[in-house]
Amino acid sequence: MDYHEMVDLLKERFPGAIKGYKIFREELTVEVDRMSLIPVCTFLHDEEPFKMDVLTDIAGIDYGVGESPRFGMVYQLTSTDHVFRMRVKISFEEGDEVESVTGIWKSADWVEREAWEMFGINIVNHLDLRKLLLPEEFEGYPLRKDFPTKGYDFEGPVGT
Amino acid sequence: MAETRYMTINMGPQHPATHGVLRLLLELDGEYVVKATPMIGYLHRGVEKLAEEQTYHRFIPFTDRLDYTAGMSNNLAYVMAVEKLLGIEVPKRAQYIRVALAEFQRIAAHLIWLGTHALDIGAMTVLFYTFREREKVLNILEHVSGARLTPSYMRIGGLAEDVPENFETLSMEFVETFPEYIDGYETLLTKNPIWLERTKGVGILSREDALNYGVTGPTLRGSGVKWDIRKQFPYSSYEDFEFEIPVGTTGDVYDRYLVRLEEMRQSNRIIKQVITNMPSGEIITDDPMISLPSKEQVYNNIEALIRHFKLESSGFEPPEGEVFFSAENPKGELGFYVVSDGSAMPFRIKIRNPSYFNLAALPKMIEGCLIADVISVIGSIDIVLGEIDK
Repeated sequence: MDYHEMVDLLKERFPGAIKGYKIFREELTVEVDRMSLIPVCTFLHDEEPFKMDVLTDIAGIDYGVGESPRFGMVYQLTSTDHVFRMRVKISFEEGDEVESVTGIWKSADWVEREAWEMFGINIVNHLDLRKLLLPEEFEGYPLRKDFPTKGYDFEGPVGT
Repeated sequence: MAETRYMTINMGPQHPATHGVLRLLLELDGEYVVKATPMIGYLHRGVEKLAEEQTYHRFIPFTDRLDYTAGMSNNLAYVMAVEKLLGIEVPKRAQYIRVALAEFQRIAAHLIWLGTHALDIGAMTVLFYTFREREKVLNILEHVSGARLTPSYMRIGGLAEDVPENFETLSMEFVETFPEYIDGYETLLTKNPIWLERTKGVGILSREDALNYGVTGPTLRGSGVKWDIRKQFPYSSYEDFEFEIPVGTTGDVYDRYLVRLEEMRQSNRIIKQVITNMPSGEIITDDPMISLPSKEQVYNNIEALIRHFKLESSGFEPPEGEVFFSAENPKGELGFYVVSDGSAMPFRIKIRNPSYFNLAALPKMIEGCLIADVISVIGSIDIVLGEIDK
């Protein structure tokens, strides 16, 4: 089954939830509506011809201040049965709720915590949402585009 | 009726057996672990943020410092991700050399793992033997790249320079003798009753859990999943070489030990094939917009000098798009998700670091185990905190 047929199947199964898709360098990216993330992911995990049994990674993205939508989450999925990969992508504005996929793949646990602390993405239904890489008292979201790389409190090298 | 009270202790972050600055919050019922919570981030450097301010070439040295026991393999995964974004093919000779170096690096990384893992469990001798051979591998890598831990040897489109003339003889010398050394390590451990007692049936991770937790590398294969990126999604000409993928049966510490030992033998086998079939030719793509000219050209040719200056100062501009590429590293699957907005600097780089996912599955493996087993399980998943903390 090629990528186009897969997308058609998804569109048929979830009318209105598939907002578009892209094939770049032989990789399939499917854009999914934020509200349908969980049903689509459950379907991809359980059903043929997908059987995406491994969630390889989740990446948060900040598209920049003033962009609409401002944020995105990208789920890299792998199927060990069918040996193929695909990406599921959602986009949303600041403060929008994003359902946690930890109920489907346990590997989402830490990466979702990371997206939460680094981008301030409002992840809901995650059982253990705490700071992971950053200190507990840290304020701000370092991977956002408007966060200066040197930090807010950096005053330049000593003596300048 | 006595109430049940658990004792909470901190293991680490300054504990030698946690392999770096990892803190484990353990809740204990007597000597049994009821709940374990790994705390990470002590080494966080914000590599992903820094990447957004570098050109694609300048990010290569940062990758060395992720998993600092496997610099070459990290270089390979990153440059291949960018090459995929650019859609370029690397000359065959460069691909072969990359494979040889990545396999040498796998042997070196597995030797560190074996030495320290055995040391954690109390078998001190192994460390001296494994570090002896690791030294030989590092000498070869140093001879090629000029550095032992942080090679930065690969370039987008190929390699920094060709391997020295005696690389093939040096490699063959090592490859011919190494299998005997592995047999030597096995005589120390594989049937050693203390080793068996400490590793068999300890830290079991079932096949389903391993997949669900996104565990990769030898830890996944120890749980009986025949999954290796080198076979499943071959890159850099891995399809040209014959090698087996060892898998375990029960998914305990002992199985992971056996898998890694066999992987060293297979790596040795791959290097042998690379050296005997090494093609001649270029070592970097001849694309003036992307690849750096050789030093010789830079010194003798004004156009090459300008090109070098231009590429180093402003970089190249890949097409708009996003790619995910992952390579089979000693620790597992190292992936780079690269998003380009068409400018000379990456818009976003997300690193899929294998140790991070393997460590996230640690509580699953040690809950219910004895506290002494925690040490052997941490050793068996082979973590490097430099990579976990990014």
